[in-house]
Amino acid sequence: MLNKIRNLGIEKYIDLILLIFLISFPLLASPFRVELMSKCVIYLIFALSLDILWGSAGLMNLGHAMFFGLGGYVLALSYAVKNGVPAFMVSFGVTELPWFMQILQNQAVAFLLGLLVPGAVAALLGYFIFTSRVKGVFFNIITLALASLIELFFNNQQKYTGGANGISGLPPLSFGGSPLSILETYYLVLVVALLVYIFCRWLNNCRFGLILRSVRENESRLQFLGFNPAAFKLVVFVVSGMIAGLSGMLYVPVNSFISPNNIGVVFSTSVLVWLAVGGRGNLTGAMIGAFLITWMESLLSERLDDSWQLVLGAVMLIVVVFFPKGIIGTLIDWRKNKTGHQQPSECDDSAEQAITPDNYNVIREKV
Amino acid sequence: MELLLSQLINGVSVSAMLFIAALGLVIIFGLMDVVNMAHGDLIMLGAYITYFVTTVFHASFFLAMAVAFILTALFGVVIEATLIKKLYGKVAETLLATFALSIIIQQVVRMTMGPEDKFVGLPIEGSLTVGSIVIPQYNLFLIAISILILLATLGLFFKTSFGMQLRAVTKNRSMSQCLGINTTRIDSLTFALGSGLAGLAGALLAPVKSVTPYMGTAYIVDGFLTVVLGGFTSIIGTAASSVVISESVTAMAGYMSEITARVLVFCIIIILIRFKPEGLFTSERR
Amino acid sequence: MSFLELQDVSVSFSGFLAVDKVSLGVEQGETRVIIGPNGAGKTTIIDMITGKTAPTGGKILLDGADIAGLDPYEIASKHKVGRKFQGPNLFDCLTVYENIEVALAGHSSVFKSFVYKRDKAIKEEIKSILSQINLYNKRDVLSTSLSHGERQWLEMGMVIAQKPELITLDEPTAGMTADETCKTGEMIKTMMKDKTVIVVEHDIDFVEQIAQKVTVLHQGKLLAEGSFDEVKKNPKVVQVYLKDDDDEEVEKDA
Repeated sequence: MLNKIRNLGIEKYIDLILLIFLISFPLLASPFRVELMSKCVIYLIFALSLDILWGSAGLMNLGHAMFFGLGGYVLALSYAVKNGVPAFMVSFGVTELPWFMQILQNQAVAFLLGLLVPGAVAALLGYFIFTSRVKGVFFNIITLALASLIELFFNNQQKYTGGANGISGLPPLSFGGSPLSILETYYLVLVVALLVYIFCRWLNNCRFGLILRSVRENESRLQFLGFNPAAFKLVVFVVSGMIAGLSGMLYVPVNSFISPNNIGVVFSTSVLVWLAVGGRGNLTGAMIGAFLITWMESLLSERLDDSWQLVLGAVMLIVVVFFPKGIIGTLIDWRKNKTGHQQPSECDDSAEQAITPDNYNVIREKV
Repeated sequence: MELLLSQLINGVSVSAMLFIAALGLVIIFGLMDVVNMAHGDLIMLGAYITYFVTTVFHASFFLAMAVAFILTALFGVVIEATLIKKLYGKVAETLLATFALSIIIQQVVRMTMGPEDKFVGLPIEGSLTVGSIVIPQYNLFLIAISILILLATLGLFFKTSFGMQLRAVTKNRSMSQCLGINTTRIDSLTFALGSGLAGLAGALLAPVKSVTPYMGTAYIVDGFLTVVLGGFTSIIGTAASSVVISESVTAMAGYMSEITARVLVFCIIIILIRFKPEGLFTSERR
Repeated sequence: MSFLELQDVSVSFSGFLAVDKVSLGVEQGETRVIIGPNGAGKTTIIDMITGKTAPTGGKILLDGADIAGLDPYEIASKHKVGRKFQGPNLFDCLTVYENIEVALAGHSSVFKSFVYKRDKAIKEEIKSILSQINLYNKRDVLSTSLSHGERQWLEMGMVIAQKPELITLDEPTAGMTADETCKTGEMIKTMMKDKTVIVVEHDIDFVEQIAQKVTVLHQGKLLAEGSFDEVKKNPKVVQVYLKDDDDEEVEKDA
């Protein structure tokens, strides 16, 4: 038993420390900071949803925020239309709620849709991409294109979405009629995060996770062993999309406001940076990356203001070129070296090797 | 009916714009197999260089085009030597690194030039009226020059020794090395060519819409989709798919909002690729 | 009808006819070796049997069912075909144990991957396979740390774990020492003795060690077929392997 604990990777220790920190945080901080930390924890959930997709399965979604935003907007709209046509729609001449808004008036349905809409988008998109024999990098392009289109769409359809101004004045979470306090909301979000974390750990450790890692590394070999890689990719894509949608829904009552910024390319880039810097495939890296960068941003953006994005870009470039495995990834490797365990070395990204224009097939033979 | 016709004719100039933007991409992405997420920003740089040359230095637009081409080509050489070369074969890293580079370029430009729109005047003003259809003369110029660029690129690829070496390297790298081709130099020149074309595209597109630090993002998404639909490696395919995509969007945009048209075209592309993953047009190299 | 039957199978790539109306039949439980000079179409035939390439003409019947053109995963799981690559083609990031575990038959659907548990029966099964390929002691080692020969054996173990009815081996002894080659031959004869095995090989001694019947391909066409001794003495085969530029002679006799 003791041996098992000793053999627990260093990343699990970091997870534990993070958990203890998050549980005790409100004891040391003002309500204002607790609210900020709620948002940060929501971002952790969002980061985890990308890690099972990118870190485990190797599918780099360049537009992951679209799932976050879709979930968030569904819930935001359901709040907005609770008492009939909301003010921002009235100002565009909308007198009656269209059918797809009417169903959102039921909170339970709205919550379900907040999970199902991103899930459905992932399912449709995934079906067409994964069953096609097109180059792997096509997934990256299409997700980027879709996220940018969705952002434009939400900006454009002011009548129903509030346009660039988004939807504001959204209420906090309530239980049995009375709203939850900042502290209660924080712990609720933390509990959800913990559940998502446990789920993701289970996913990675069970056979499904093993197959995902095999898909990432050598998809073609897997086919000849009887697996349908498209099915596995589709499932993880949908699950990832739904968890992202969940985090988007949590975001809405905490932030009271949602806009197309939360659904588009810039926010998608952020989550990519979190995972690039923190490391991917081990869950810890995603969380640490999200945590560090979110807090750095809120602390430094007042100081640096204008050049924060530039700093972020520079940090990302340095990490990708010199520490491609991210902070946690590099730490895990260093630890394995120290304790004499063998190194996977460069095998993690071998599936993402360049495919020459001559073989368009996803099937690659390793000779 | 007339609306449709006028839309289709204007669609040709939109196609020309898309083609010019995507041409550099088909060379770098399709042929060299390098995913350069900063490609759109090279277009943006070309546009800003044009702004400088025409508006600040009051020089001719055509000089601006040449300067934009040369400067972005040189910048491409630098990017290739410092960044791309180190990450050959690692698609994920190249994608992320060029993504980061894109952010850096955008922010540097924004911080030095300001985020507000800059304008470059049309070098050729006035329009041609055919019946009730009005075609700006600059659009005709764009169409003409895009055809010129297409022919010049095809000529370069198939009639020059550089083109032959480039095609050899992309088909079979190690064999080309055995035959004495300096693949490092070819890589550098090819990337420079692709970047230069992006800069040229930026110059040509500068008068059409305003010049902003973020203008590149739209082009990179559209550019990639065009290249994919066109068959990844085919220059003619890219030209053809630019026409197909732009005409579809422009025609549909006459009857619905442009965004809805773009979403529809996007869905059609995904479905098309599912059934024809090699793109609509196979490579002319075979 | 044979267990595996190729009927007039052809495939052409952009005009180049790689395999030209090849017909052959392999009986259940047979070990067939396919030989031929490079470019003869041997691996292409394996590609077509395993689903990597779809033939442009002809039928491929496995136990009566036409598998030509099906997806590789369908052929592997539904029609129980296992393939060993020229490779070795494994999962470098996984341990020896995990490589076998991935390959285990009957657990390749998404649903099964969620309910799978490494219970006693499975542990026994993996242990048995690892023992047969002599890698039980190295079960927790990353597959990249193995020697080339061991990696070849690991892949063979993965193929066995699939519990296939038909096994295709593409140059299983490539890069092996003479000892390893001999050991591999024994492994094939013991581990795969009840299976139908098709082997593509170049090493003539190895072919002699394992072959029950030999098929010779040349330039995409079937050249000769028979027992090892028959084929060895066949003048056309001799001609092709010791060929000068006297192609015409071979064409005339064919």
